[in-house]
Amino acid sequence: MNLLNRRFRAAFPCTAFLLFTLLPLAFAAQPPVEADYRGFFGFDSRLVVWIVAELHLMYGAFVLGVPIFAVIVEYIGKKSRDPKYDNLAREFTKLLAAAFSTTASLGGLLAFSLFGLYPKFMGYLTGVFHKSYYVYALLFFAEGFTLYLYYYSWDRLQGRWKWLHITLGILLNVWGTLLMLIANSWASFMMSPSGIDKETGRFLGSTWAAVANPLWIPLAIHRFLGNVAFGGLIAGAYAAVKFLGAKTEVEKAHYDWMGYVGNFVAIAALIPMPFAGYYLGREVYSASPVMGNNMMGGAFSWTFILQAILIGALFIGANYYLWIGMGRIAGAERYGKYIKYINLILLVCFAIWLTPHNLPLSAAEQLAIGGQYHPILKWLGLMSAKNAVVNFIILSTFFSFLLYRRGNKGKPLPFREHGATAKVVLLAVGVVCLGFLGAYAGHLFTLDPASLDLSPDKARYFKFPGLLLLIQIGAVFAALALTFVDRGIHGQALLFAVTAASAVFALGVYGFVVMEKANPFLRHIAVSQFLLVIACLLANTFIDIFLFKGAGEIGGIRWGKMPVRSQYTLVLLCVTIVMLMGLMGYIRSGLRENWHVYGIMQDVSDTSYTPTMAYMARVVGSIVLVFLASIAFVFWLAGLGEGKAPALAPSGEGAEKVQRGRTK
Amino acid sequence: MKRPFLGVTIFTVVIVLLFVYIGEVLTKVSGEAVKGAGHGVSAVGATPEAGEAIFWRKGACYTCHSVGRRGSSIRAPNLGESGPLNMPIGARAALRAQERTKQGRPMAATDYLVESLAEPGAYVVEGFKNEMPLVWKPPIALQPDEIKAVVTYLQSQGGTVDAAGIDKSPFLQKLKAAAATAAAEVAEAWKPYMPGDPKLGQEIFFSPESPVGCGKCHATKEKGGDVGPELTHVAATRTPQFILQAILEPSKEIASGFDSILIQTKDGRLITGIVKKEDVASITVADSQGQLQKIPKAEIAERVPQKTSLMPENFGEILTVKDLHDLLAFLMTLK
Amino acid sequence: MSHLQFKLSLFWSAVISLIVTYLFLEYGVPYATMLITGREQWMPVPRTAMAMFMILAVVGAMVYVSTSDEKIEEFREPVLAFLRGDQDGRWSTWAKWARVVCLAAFPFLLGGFVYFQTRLTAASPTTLRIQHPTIPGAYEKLKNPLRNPDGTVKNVKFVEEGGVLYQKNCRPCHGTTAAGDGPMGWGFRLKPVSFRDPGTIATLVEAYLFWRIKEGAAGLPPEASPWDSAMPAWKEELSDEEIWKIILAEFDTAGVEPRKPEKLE
Repeated sequence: MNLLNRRFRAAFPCTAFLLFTLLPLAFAAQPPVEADYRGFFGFDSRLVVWIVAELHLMYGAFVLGVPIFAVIVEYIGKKSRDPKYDNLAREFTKLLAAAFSTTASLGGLLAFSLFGLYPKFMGYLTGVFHKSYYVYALLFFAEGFTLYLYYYSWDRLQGRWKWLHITLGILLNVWGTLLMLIANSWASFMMSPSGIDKETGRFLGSTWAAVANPLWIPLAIHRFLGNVAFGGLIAGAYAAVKFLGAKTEVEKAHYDWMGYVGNFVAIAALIPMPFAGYYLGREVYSASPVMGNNMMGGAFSWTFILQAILIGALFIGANYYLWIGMGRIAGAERYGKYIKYINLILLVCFAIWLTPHNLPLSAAEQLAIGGQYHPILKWLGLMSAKNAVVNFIILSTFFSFLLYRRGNKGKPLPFREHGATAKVVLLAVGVVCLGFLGAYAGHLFTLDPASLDLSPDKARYFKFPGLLLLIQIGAVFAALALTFVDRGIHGQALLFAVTAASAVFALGVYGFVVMEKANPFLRHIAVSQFLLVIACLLANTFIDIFLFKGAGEIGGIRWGKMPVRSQYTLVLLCVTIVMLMGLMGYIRSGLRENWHVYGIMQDVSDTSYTPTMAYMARVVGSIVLVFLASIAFVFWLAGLGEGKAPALAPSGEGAEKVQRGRTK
Repeated sequence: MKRPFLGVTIFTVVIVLLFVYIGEVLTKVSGEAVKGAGHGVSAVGATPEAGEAIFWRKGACYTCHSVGRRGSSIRAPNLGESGPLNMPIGARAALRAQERTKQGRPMAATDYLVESLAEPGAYVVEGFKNEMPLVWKPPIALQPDEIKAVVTYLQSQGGTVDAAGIDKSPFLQKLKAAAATAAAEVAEAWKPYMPGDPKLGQEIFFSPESPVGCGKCHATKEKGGDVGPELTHVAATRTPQFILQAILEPSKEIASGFDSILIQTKDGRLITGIVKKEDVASITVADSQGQLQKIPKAEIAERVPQKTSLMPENFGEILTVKDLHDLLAFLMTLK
Repeated sequence: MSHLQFKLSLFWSAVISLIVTYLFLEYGVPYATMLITGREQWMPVPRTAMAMFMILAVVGAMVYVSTSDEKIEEFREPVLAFLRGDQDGRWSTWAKWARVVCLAAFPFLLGGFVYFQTRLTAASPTTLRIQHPTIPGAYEKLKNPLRNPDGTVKNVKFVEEGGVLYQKNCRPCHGTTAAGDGPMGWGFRLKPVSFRDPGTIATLVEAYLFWRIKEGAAGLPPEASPWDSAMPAWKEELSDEEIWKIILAEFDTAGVEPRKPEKLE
């Protein structure tokens, strides 16, 4: 009875919020309103929309990011039959369900304020996108119902029905991703409009043409990864706070582990993030060189210093957390000596990443240097240097993680004990690497310089990266071969060394040559670096899985034996990624400058100017605090109904009994 | 649970404050400022200012026309100097009127401008399409007064503002416009590039630590030196751009009575300054640092009037853009 | 490793690492820059970069010493021992005096730091030019009329004519080989940029160059501090076609290609 009640209680606000969210769609049918802009009780309309949109986006990121790894954790739980995974997935989902209605109501508020404050602009956008609104609404229903079904059927769908439950989770992700894709298309349309008459802004009739604008997919990939990292780190911070307040060792162990999983998920999403960012940036340049130049070399170039600081904090923090975590693993001290080198590499890389092309100089320094660019440091500000260090950071972080993983592992088993499957899987991985490395090498060798507007003699610059890709294929297979003869660790080391040498050093330096001689080719260098690093990550991960499968353990992982500062690191990571999200939201939106729809519909409101960094930092800082405070409140609410030590209750029938017992 | 949560909260706030601080520092280092002012409310009266407000807001002219470097539309001719014939519309109109006269419709420059708004299709600039809407019809629906204001704004772009001429134009009659008698005030529209803070400006003006130290030579009310002109009411009589020019290019226009002289003494010393006091026996000169020197006339070998102002010419180097605007904002309060 | 070998404590290794980093940035980099560029004077690392690098170094040291409780202990140990006066034997007197000096000096150092940070000093302002200010919309969409749609030059003679115009008008400042080393260029506080530097014209579309040449320094937006540049507004002297020719010649002389508006895939 009680359970039914609970379900009803949850369903009611859910439906109410859905209605609330969909109401604004009714505006779509209204004829265009006379006023262009309206005020918001004397407040700055832009500020109101900025704050509400960013909060909605942050909640949205959490709500879309968490189910992705919740389902994966649940699947691992099903495979390994370890109830702790299932409990963790459930706890993630609990947070999700709690945040969902807030996301929805913020979405409603955003739609209200947009239609209310920017009637003309929204009228135009509605004229183009109204069909997609209805699909969005339908998907929203699907998402809401699937989420509550997923959460509340957890106990019912255990045992042989588990697969159905996992299917529900996957469905939840499908709806979520589709929702994000639709909402994204509106935002990216504003940056790179398509499907309309470029002169008059008249809609040409095909909603799909407007949805599939040039920045749609790049933005979606970037956001997707960002959401996963965001969700992971919010969950990590939640675990950290719970850990700090934990009374028992069991609780501590659970929340330590939850924080670790959150951080792990975030690292996994962060690693491909720079590539996604590069891709998005490149497409921004393609869509409008003016916008691109404004972004990297103009008014917005300084925001990227702030971005680099935040990303630096993220990567160093994530590594730091792993290093502290090695303290709870018996046997990890064997690898302690590597920490200082990784630390050094990370710091040098960030120093390079943070160095802008043109440093602020005092007049005296200008005189001493004899120009506005420092003759050596200016090189560190160019794309080629940045790409090289980003790849090095990724490799180092991955290396940290491998060290962490093997912390308590003893001598690996002889490879033949893993049987034929291991060999087949590893060879398959090798073939995949061979496939994409070889394909791209082939592409480089046959690339027509004319397609890049280069003269035919420039084709010789394409050979070197192609050669490195071929060498990488050799290195991958050498590593696999070494694994087969029980020298897997050497194989991994070889692959790391070759990748660092080629992707970071060789191509890093070669990038400068290319910039000078055949600049349009530079992005192929970036792609080559990306493929080299991905091949290394892929092959080494799989080698590692089999290498230490069934290996003897030197000691267990003492979950819960973590110092307080490690938990504060998780909080730092969470706050950092929330700030980063706020900053990137500002950059993406601000790049349009005084346009609602870039190049089509001009912003003629009083606030059609780009604010200063100081103002932006104040607004984003306030948004971050409001978001964190509100999500803490929402989590607190979610925990109200449960007793102490909620997620530690055994799952299944027992859990219901416990729950019933408590609520009586 | 309470204590750790408090700790985490404080930690979070500290990180966010650090973020905000870095933002402030970056703004300071990069010297960025709010770019482009917002759009004001459209004023009434046939003045270029009112016309400008209408042009950039209600009239939506900017949707198709840019004026020089302002605006970014290229659909219709640029109305500034970078437009057709490489002259601003005020000057261009006279040539166009001649062209129209040759075509058989005799008119003056003002008529051409009014015609362009009243009957945009009558003359289409080469290379552009006949696609200008009738601005006096919905959705833009400008009133005759407003059209007049826009025309004065266009005239102010390199031509002479002639509000009375607009009224006489036969084309305005076509709009059945009631004649307005507002007198146009001739003033070039100029705005500071960024807002300034008069308080900071005052500090720059008077502070002995300031590298500029205007107060050494200039006085406002009772305070300050008397080498240069008193500035107590400067804003009441001078436009901002005059003041700006006076700071950056002091020699361009020297206030009467403040010409400097070069005195060569018999023992070979050279003294430049402004004559403060002169009697039969001696002459008192104030130098550029505000120091007074009394020179007996018997010692003077030669005195040469100077064309350059005694005021240092390097304020453009010393002052940052922000400082300059703060200073300007302070000076504009002196009415 | 022999047991007799002297092992540096973590505290001192951290301190020494920071000092080495500082010396490297303060003296090593300027000296190396001088050697590499072949100029006669040291090229200092700009203060802003210096502050950034040193903050990173301190953060790195703090991260490293706090990766495990043992390291924190090892780091704190010499400091605490010094403050407690744990030294024995002949060092104890020295340590005692050193402690007194340190503790006495601390408030002075702090006070001095605050004083030097807050006192008013006359320093030349730190300025920063915006590298690529936003191109006005009117110029944004211009294409070089002397090029074919595929980017090749319509007629080689345009490049030659542009070269003559370049040598006549631009060479004095931008140099014969477009390396920014023209004889007149030395007179400016901000030297003309080298077009051979891949970070300059090679990253720009031709319309951008057209705007910069035509409008010159006077046409720069205020935030790009127009008075720092000595570039004349060439619209007074040159026709549009001449400017386009010069642009062709600039790329040719510098041996780089303009950025192409990339095609969408």
